[in-house]
Amino acid sequence: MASGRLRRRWARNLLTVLAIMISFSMLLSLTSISLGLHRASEERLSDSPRDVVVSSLGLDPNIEDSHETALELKQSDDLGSVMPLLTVLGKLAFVEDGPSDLKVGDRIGINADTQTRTVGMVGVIPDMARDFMGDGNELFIRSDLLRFQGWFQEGGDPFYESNYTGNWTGELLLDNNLLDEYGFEIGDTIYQINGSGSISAIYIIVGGIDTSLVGSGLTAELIGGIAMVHLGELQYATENHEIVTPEGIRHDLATAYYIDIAPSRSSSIEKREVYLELEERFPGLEVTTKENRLYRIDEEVLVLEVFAISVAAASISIGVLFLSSIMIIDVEDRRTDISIMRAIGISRRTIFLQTVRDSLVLSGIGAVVGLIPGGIGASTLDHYLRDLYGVNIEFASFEPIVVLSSFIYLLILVLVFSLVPAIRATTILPRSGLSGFMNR
Amino acid sequence: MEIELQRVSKTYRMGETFVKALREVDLLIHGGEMISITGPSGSGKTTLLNIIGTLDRPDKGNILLEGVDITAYSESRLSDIRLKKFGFIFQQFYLLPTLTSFQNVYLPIKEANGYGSEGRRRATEMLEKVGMKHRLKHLPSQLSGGEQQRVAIARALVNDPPTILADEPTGELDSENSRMIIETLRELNRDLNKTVIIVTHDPEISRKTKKTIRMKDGKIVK
Repeated sequence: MASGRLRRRWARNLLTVLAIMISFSMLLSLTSISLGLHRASEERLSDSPRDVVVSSLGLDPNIEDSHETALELKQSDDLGSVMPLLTVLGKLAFVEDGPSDLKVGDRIGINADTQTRTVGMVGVIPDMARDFMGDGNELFIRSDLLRFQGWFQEGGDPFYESNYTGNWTGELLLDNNLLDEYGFEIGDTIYQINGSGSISAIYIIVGGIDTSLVGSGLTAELIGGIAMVHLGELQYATENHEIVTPEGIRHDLATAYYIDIAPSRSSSIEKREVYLELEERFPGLEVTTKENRLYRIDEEVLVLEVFAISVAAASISIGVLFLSSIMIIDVEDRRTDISIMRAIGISRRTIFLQTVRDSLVLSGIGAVVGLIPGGIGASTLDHYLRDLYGVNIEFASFEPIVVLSSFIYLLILVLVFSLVPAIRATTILPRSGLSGFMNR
Repeated sequence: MEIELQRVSKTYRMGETFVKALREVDLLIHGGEMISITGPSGSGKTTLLNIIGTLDRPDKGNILLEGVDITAYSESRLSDIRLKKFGFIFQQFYLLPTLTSFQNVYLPIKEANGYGSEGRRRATEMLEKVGMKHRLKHLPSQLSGGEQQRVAIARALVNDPPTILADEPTGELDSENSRMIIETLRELNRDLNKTVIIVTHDPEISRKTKKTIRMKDGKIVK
């Protein structure tokens, strides 16, 4: 019976279904994005094994004597693993079949056979980094998960250990995206160049890295990929081994320490004590715990989530308000029909439920049809954001929970907003639409 | 079913003026009677029928059904009375345009008894009785005036009410269909002992009823 009523004003009802479909698909898409962002950030951080990060304030490396301090920290009973880290932007030159006699200080001419790329360069002490790697040869740097194919032959940092004059290992692990892009392989030579275009370091590729970065987008344009080398060699190549400042000479610079607390200090109170000790130990540096970082990420993602959910809620509310308006018009149009029903004894309850049911049918059709564009919208936004940021993160989680919660939200809204037309329908008197009958 | 009106008055407001449609009307209708209500336009006959059928409430006076005063009943109780005690037949038929003949007839019995095969069987039976079984799935717009009125009669009878209220039931029909409808109402009164109350302008119809109430200026004059 409802279908007959709804078919009668098919154009109006079709537009109503379309409005619900569009707003519901927006709700689905944006809720998927919101959930996806939340999950991605939380999972990546919670999977990270690091308990504490001590990092420089600002972008420049500010941690001095990083090797010695790391070794010293490692002796502490409170701490398990410690790893100093230098992350800088560096420029790599990919020379195809280039002359093998190039050496540090030579200028590289940029031509068809030589291409340069800015990459995120990470300097580590391999043996210390090993302590932070799981069985799957994985390591989190910042919030990026790196998976290694191959590893450094030399576990220590011999060039540093001999006061930056020891054996230069030249070992480099390179982003697989870059290996694929330039057709380079393990064993090939690669050059790091400085701002004036001269070679500052020569490396041999010893392995590949799978990263979450993808080959396009803003991030990929700024950072073509990740390259990992020995800490001491990166310090030397980027002149972070010794910097002369007006305040004096600064040595052995790094950007962060990654620290795991010893398993024996596992209670939250003990951990808290260790954090406080580290804060005291590094007054000019930022000491953040996993909880801090999760909280901070939560806050950042929360802003995006609130924005996405607000837009989605506004969209679906407008759709449902449109539905409610149409239902009010429908009730007015059906005034005679409703008064006939009242006249022959149909109860207010039945008329109320009939109006609510009509609203539910229209919104239900709109929602079911909206599943398809909602899914497509979530997928499109996901691809767009991956491409925009150049990272291989699942931005949208189009899951049953998203669909279910969106349906429930829509249902609640429809039930609330259909009260107005439904109550209005019940106030129509049995005689009010039967004017011809009444007024003679 | 006995229906009694005690000193019933009703006034309508039409713009700035007030129209006294009924003036202290007393009326007693016994079960099984067939009555016509006649009178000039504006004499209050339709208002009287509305008040008898609980479609409207009196300003003053009381209405008693089977000796029970229902004047102050709530709207939902009056709705239930209309559903079970009265069958309405209107001049303009007033079938629901989006429902088929069957659905129009099924609607009141579904309201009274809920969904069920018995209700569907009863609705079909009523349509068969008025000669409309072959038009079960037709919409009102696909039926002639006479056919629509027959569906309306089936709807009025489906809950087996003791009283049928008909307001100018033949006003929109040709003479052949009018004759058929009046004959049906007479049969209902004669064979099933239904109380039938007809508002009409037509002296031919009033001659066919056992009792005629003539109204003028909101009062029963005969």
